[in-house]
Amino acid sequence: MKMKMEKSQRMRTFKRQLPLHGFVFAGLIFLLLFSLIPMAGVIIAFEDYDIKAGLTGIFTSQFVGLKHFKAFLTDRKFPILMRNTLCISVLKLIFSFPLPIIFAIMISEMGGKVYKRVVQTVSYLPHFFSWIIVSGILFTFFSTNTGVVNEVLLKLGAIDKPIPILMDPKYYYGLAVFSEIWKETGWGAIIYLAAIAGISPTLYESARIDGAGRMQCIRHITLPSIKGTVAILLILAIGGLFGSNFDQAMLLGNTMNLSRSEILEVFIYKIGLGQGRYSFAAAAGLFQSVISFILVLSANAVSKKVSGSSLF
Amino acid sequence: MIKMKKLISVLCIGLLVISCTACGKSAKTGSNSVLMEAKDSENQFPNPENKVTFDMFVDCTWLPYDTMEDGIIEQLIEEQTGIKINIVKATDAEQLNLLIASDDLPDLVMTSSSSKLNKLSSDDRCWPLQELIDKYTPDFKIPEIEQKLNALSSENGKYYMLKNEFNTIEEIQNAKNIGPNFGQLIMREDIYKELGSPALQTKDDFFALMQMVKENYPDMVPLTINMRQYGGLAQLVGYDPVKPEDENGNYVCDISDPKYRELCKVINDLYRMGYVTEENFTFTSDEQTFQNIGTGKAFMVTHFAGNDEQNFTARVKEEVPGAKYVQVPLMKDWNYTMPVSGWSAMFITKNCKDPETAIKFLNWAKQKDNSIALSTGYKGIDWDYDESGNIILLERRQKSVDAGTKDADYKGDGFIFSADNYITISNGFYAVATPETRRIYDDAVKRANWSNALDLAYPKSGTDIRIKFDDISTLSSESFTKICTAKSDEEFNTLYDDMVKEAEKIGLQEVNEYLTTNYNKLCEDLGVK
Repeated sequence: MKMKMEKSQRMRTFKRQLPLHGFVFAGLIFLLLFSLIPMAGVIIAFEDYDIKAGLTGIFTSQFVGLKHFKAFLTDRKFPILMRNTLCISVLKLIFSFPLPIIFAIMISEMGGKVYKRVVQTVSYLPHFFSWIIVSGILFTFFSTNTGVVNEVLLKLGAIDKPIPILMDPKYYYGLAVFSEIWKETGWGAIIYLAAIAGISPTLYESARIDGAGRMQCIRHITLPSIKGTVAILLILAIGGLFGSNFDQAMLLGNTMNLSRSEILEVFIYKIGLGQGRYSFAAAAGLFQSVISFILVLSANAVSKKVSGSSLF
Repeated sequence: MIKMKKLISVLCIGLLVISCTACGKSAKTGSNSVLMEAKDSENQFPNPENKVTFDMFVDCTWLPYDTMEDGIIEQLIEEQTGIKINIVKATDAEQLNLLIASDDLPDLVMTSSSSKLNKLSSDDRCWPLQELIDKYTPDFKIPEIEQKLNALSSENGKYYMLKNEFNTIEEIQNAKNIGPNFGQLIMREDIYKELGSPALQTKDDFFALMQMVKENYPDMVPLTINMRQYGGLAQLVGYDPVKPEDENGNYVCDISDPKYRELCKVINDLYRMGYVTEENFTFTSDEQTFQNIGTGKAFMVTHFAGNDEQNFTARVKEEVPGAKYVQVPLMKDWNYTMPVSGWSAMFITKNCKDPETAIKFLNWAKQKDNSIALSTGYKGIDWDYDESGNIILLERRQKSVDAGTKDADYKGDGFIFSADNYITISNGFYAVATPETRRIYDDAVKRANWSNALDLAYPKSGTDIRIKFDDISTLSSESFTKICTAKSDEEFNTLYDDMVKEAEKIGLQEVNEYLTTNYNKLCEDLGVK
């Protein structure tokens, strides 16, 4: 009897939530079709797959074990690719990860409502520019021949010849981090602003009654309250260390700064599509995914231990 | 619970089937995989009433127009054949590879990359042309030697493509008014004359001229290198940019030709002396070169010999009214092989909605007058023959050429349809050329080496030797900028030697042996050179 009642209760809840289940179902189908099922194709990393064999070739090509992994790990470009991929991502993590937190705190501490909204809107607008537009803007600013920055510095006598920011490899890491900060800081702050908005105002009121200043409120109330959000976003950012700079590297990379701008994802794209070495590219891609997965697990475990917050 | 599990299982299987069906678009629809019976009459084509639209992928990022829409050539094709062509211009070199990988090819494909020619030359992707010809247009005769050369890209001996600009060497040598399209130097004649028209026959002359320009016109950039075509500089050291050779005269990779090293050194010297800007080495499209020309600050430019000096003049006219670009006469050590096996090819894919009309269109496009029309416009309005049978431009086309709006007005070229052979296209270049340029063309024809087999000696896509060949080509092109912008002779030598050592590790010797052997074998088997 009790079981029957529970069942009918569940059915009623299910019917009430039917539209929501519809959304979840659509999402599931999407994931299944475009993320999970295509993962079966990863087996070509262990085969000598020929594109002419088509879809069936995925299952019928000759098994070659770890041949393509060995070739990738011994490729002349492997050390450079790893260095660039890691350096750019780690630098971004160091410099561009904390900035949205600081920015969100600064905005939340601002007084004038209108000004606050204007700053917020203006700061997240660059996020909606594609990398192709951002690269165009960077060319307009930093070109050695026609760039505004070089022209102004030359006219001011600060430099005697243009600085090749877009071409000299030594500037590439800085350029990548700077453009990422400019493009994404405002957008990244939204999540933290939402987290800050969720903090009970009574905490601040009672702290102020106890004599706490603005910095003390930030240190003892705001930061501890958004700790969970920071931890989760940090785990995700660490997971993306090996694969989130493709557009930027494709567009800001050129033959002059190639030694610093070529990253793993660009290499996979060039080798897979450019040379048609699908199995080799799949092996390199799988290597990248496995490392990312290990990083997510490790970051999750560390975060769980240190802050008590984790993804799973 | 068990029911739920069953439901989930059924759903998963269903989705798997749906996704396989979606991914398996390659399983061709019946109507496309099997040839339909030929239409009633052989004379049905061209029939302007029979409207067919073909989507065509053009694998040329540098094509000066994105669409044929509202262009004179589109109007001409539609009026005379009923066919409308929607071209899709490549945005990067990998786009066609993506279409091949996803089996999402349009009706027609034009490409020039040897690895893509290999990939497309298979029954799974494209129609074997002889099969279509036999069935629908038996009057379409493709010379046997051309068939053999085109079949080299496939693994089954069939040929799937129609190449542009093919002629036998004998035909070319017997033809008149050939305007070859090789890597050339184009310079501002007005400035050259102001400098007293100094001698320009050797490397020393060239450097002296660069220095004069830099000293007398400090705002000008003495040399702009089009990174897609810097063959014009090769003559400074006598390097053949099309057929690199080792010390024994064998066809090899460029980095194994001692003269290639000399060419890199010359470019490095030009850079270090400030005759070429650093930014120039990052240029990835012709448009960046053209923009430099438009500023009025580009003295000399490396580009193609196909009459672009007239376009350049039109581009700079607004900025500097008296400016005029001309081609530089060939220097003493000019050494050039003209490959005439066709530099690009047209495929009719298995996705083509009407292969019968497509092959008939290719046959129509190959007819001499139609071939010229696809590049030049309407006969009688845009061009015609003079009394000796040479092509002459008429008022409308000439005006468009002079105004520099040719590409915007006409939006079409015979080469994208593989309509032209080498002689017709080069006759077209010759027709438009000034008397000075014609003299350069005549000189080039006399001094050039000609080859039908050169482009075909590359290893086939997917083979181990091809992987090594591609790896060495990538190494060479990626190292080029680094080497040419070295800050000292010592750095130059170190970088060049490192590149060669790296190539040797990849398998340079093996690749060189393959190229030499394969080229010699091709020449012997096919009776060409």
